[in-house]
Amino acid sequence: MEQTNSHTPTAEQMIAADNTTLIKRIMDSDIFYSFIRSPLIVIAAMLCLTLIFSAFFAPWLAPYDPFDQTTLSLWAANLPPLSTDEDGLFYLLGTDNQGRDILSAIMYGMRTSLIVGLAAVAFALVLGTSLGLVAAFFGGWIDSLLMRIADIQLSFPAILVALLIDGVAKAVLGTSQMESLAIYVLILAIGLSEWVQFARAVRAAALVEQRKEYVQAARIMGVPVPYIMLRHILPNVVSPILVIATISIAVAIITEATLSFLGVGIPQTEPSLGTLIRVGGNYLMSGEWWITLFPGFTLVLLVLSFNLLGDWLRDALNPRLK
Amino acid sequence: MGAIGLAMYKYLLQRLVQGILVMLVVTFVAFAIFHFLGDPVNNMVGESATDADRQMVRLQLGLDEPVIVQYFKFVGNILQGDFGISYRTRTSVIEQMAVRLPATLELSLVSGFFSILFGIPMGIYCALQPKSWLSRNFLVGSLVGISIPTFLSGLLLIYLFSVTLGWLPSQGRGGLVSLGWWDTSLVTLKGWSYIIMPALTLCIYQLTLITRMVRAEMQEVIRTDYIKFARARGLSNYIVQYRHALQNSLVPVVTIIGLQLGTVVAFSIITETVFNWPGLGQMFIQSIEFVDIPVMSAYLIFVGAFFVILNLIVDLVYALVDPRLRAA
Repeated sequence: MEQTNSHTPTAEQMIAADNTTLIKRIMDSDIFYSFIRSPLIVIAAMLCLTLIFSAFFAPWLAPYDPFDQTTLSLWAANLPPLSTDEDGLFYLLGTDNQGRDILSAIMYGMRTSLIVGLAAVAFALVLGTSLGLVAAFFGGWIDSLLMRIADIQLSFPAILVALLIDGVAKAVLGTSQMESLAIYVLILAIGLSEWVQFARAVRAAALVEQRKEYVQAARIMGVPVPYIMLRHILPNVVSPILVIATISIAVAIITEATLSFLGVGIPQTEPSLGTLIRVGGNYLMSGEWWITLFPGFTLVLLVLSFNLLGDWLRDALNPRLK
Repeated sequence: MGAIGLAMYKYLLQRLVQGILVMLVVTFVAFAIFHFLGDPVNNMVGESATDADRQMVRLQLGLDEPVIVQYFKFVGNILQGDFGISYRTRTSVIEQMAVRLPATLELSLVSGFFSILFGIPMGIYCALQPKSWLSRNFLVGSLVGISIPTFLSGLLLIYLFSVTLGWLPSQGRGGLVSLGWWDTSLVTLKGWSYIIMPALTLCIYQLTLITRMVRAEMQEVIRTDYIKFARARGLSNYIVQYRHALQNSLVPVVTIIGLQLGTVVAFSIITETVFNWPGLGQMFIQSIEFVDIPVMSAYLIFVGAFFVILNLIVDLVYALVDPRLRAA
């Protein structure tokens, strides 16, 4: 047995070998090279990861629990940044009107913003990609119908579409029910306002792919249509999807923040960055800038890092620029 | 006129039909919102009404008729300028919109003016001097500009110019002069002090977009053969850059700016909320807050019509500019 082992690699060895080649393949790839060569992008990626990490581990990393009513005291309200309250507690970014630590509120708020942004883009991606594939593959009236809907929707700005869906949901659900379902409605509204980009890009790329011989061969061999779409065409249209997804996350986060700022998004009970900025905006006139501007800067950094990554990815994945 | 050929008429007709189709879809969505969300009767008569009252309102509104008949009546009313009565203020929706329209239009136009005034020169500079220090800053700045949400730049301006410096008012619209039914804030200094911050806030996004587009178009044109040929002919730098390159790169830019005017109207919702500007966007946000459905659907139809008309104008301009459509 020992002898045969030395000749034929075990499953673990094969996986290990596969891993090294995978890492090697990544290290050798053009994308990795262009990544390492642009310091701005490395910084953006690190910033992005740090923000995501601190948002998702907020319950463990945040210095205080901003939703624990018992620890909030009005004595510690409206403290400027870098101040210490009477109990000797330190607040790096100050406190808001309820004595809530701004840094902790930002971390929890960013978590809500990211969840909504990522979920909305995931929804838009799945919906848009499947409709785009269907439109490209079947053509005919399905294609024209889907693309006309896309045209009409594209002539309206996403924020308006999301606002409208939100308003309709409010009328259907009623105000009290809306409160508890707000986050799902928001994901749906933002997702539905962004699917068009995915559908158009995937349709265009799939139309090119399916004229190629390997798809024709698969069709002649009698491979089922869903299998061709998912296993043959989809992997070849991944790069436009990836670029759009990255930029869409930035757009979705801004849309969520805007809706929350306008007061039609996330309720105050579970604030997102937009809600924090909206609430803090009321105190701006009396000079308490830190309540609204710190969440605002965090939002800008988050969006900017996704935008930079998306911009870079578009150039890196564009074969014409090589 | 002989130059305008059959192809162009066909093209414009096609566009017109598509525009009408879009408007039918938009009015249908608006009608569906009005018809199926909540009970219009309940919203009109209030809690204490008797069944007889309800029945009367129902008949008055024509709610006993088939849905399709109601839809065509709805469209007919809109064509006559009747958008119904607001649930919240109990006043005619069209009158409410007429009062607020000048505020939104002035804000959009001033902001559009700012973004063209700054955006085009910045874009030209970035294209002509791609390696200069200033161009790089413009480009990074434009990415930052896209990443700052409209409401946040508004808040920053308020903090800087109203709270810290105390130079400009932060809320509302003042210094108005009435020109018939149009109240303008553009003829007095006080009016400008109110409009300047909202207009700047609204223009940032457009400004970055225009800068990037002018740059991209111009870089594209500079690489073409006829520009190289113009240089080879010994034409001066000025003539080559401004007469040949700029003019040819501005055609797509102008059409996009036209289409972007619609986006300005949408973004004005946010700006109007930040600065408490009494325009249509603020009206729309309030209507969502209070589930004031007639106002919601009226705004939807207004924005839809605005977009369709802008699109048609852009198509018309294209048809006039594109020689392939002009000939034949």
